[in-house]
Amino acid sequence: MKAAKSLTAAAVLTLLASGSAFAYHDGGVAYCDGCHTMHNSSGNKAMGTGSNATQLKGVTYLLQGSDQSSTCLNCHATTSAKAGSYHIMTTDAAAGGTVPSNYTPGGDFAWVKETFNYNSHGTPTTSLGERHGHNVVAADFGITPDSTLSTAPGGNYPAANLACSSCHDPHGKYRIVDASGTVQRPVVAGTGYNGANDVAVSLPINGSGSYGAAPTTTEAVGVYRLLGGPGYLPDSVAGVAGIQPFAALPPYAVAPATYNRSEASTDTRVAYGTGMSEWCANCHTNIHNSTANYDGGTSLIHPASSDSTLGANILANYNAYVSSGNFGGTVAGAYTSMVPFEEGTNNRANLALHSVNDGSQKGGADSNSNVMCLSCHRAHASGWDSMTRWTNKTEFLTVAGAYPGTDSTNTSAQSYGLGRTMNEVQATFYQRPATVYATYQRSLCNKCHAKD
Amino acid sequence: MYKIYRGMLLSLIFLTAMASPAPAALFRAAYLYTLSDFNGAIPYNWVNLAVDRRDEETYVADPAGRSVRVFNDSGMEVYRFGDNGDFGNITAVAVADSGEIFVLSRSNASYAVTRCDYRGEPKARLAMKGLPPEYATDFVPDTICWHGDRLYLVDRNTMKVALTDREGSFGSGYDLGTILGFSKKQISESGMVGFSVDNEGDLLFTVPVFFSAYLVTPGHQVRSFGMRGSTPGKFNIVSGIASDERGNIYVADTLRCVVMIFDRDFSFQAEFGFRGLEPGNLIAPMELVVNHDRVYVAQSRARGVSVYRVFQTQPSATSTKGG
Repeated sequence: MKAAKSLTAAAVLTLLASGSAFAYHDGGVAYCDGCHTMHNSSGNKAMGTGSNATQLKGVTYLLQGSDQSSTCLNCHATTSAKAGSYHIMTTDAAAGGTVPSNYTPGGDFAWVKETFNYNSHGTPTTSLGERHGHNVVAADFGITPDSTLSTAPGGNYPAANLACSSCHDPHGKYRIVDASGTVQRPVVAGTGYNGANDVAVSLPINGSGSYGAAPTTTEAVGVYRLLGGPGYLPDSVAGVAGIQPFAALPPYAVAPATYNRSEASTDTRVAYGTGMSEWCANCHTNIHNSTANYDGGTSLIHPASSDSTLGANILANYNAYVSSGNFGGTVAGAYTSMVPFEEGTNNRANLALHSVNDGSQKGGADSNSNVMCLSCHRAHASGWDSMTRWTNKTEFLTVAGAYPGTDSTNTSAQSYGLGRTMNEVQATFYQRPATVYATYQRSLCNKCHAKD
Repeated sequence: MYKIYRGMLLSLIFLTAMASPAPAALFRAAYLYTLSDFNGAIPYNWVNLAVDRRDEETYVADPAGRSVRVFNDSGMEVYRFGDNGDFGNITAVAVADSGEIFVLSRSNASYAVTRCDYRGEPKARLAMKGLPPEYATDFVPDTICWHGDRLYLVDRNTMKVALTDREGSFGSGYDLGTILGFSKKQISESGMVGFSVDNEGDLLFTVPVFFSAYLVTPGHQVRSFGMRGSTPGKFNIVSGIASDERGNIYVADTLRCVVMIFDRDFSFQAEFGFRGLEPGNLIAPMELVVNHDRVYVAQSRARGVSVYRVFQTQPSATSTKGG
């Protein structure tokens, strides 16, 4: 390869030549050999022909990784030293040591590998890593299938098949084609599912749809985070009993361009519009349902949908709540990314105005706002059981004005960390100082319910 | 019908081979072993590596294990330190020619460098002195290395390198983003992954989102190489980079699971590893270091650090040094 480039004065040329490298997915399908191996077999064995079929050995789906998620994590995982930007897993994080250091709104998948042991009222208790998030199976990165929940809570999606591509369409075929948010997927007639959003002729995608870019009359933008839309069904679960193609549209949301960052000084505000809970229900169909819960009980009836507007009392609570005992806030400063809500709109231009990371958009909820799954849970993983944004297993999130932890010098605070160190607890709050909360802060459920 | 397809396939393979001739086979790599202790291979993931060429030892800084382990030239652990928590969150290690060891620790947005004796006993925490303003704020080194009489503190996110003496006094620096003409946005969205210093004092580093490797001389002259692709010698997601005494450059590709060898003129020579679960294969290689004819490669899937011996049977056609 004669690719040497003298660059002292020609740096610009190099950059121009590779200027599109930043947005690898560009809202749609990336270049094929970024994920698939066309020319390299597994172990560099010869790719045989004819009857010597055993030599024709690539890895699953001809992926570059050992499985779907490993392929994604080859780029999207990193050591703590390089955390940030497009990374969503910290590979060297360890319970009691280096904290998961990626602060994307979805959360750091390293939490699903961190198990914490503690005493709960004298009883030895374990907070298993697998309880902390979606266990996207990634052999190359040590993420194994959930050993407790064999299928998605409230649904049938098999845990053994859970991968990044269970939620994100790696080929990014769904697209937004107009200002009103119409989603289309071009399909070849007669090749499978053909729903209302499938068309024979659509627009090409020219960029990501995650950051508020608008489609034009000639080009579309991708949907939020390449999420699957109606008809989406990963090949790995095609034919699995009880698995149906997605029914719901991808949610409408807009993120600020820089979203993987500490929130010590300002929030990273993703402006969620509408459709998140309905989209989660593609797999978690019967969770939080008033008539049928996955465990047969009736405890999971908290509303979460685009129709679940906050109501007068909850709305007033959200906008007034500051911290435990302090309900004197104003709507202008009420928003917190620890308890986000949907704005009840698919107007992406308006959402884009609110998606900031500089603290300039702190406005609270209004009568259109609704509660969603992500109001309480992180999409990827969190530091707590049931992947909630904060723990619901202790009375206090802060003790005497500090985050609790096993290493707290305040011995009465140690147990409230549930086996986590103070640094780990603070990491679950995306590095917010404890002083943003009350000295004895109780559950953030109270942001809406104000019982403290 | 089968014969027709078979003939077409063979023709295609023949044409493909003719279109991209393989380079001369000047290099051969043999897998030797994986760094081990008496319990067997150590299941590291993506650890930081350094070599002590004087004593033929390899150092592994393991952030997850919060320790530094030392291996002899047979790949066996002979010593370890740091696991008592002295250093906090260990990120990287470097070994000076004198045998002094430098350990980089990080906690959120702060860092510390501790100078240790050859036994890993902390002797001093470096108080950085004389740092220019651009290195005093928003500069948080995430890796270090030693060359000549200088400690290289590298912030791969901001693409800045500060050179200090063994006491932490600033001598000079490289703002690599500026040298390369990157905008602030480009720097924040790209950054370096692999970094090392060659025998000439040149900085070698990779920027995977540009599918490129760079060489920056002490005089700030820049050369780069690399071409995106998945065939031999092409860059998919490049990571670690290092050179040997002959000037050959080794580049790991995390996605293609290979280590590529280029001569000092950046001509591709060979590659080795390849995705697979056999001992000599690689899974998601990341950092690498070279010590004489040995190449140490850190990888994922708890496959530890694989060690290869690279044989160069004759100088490459374009090589101008060594032999």
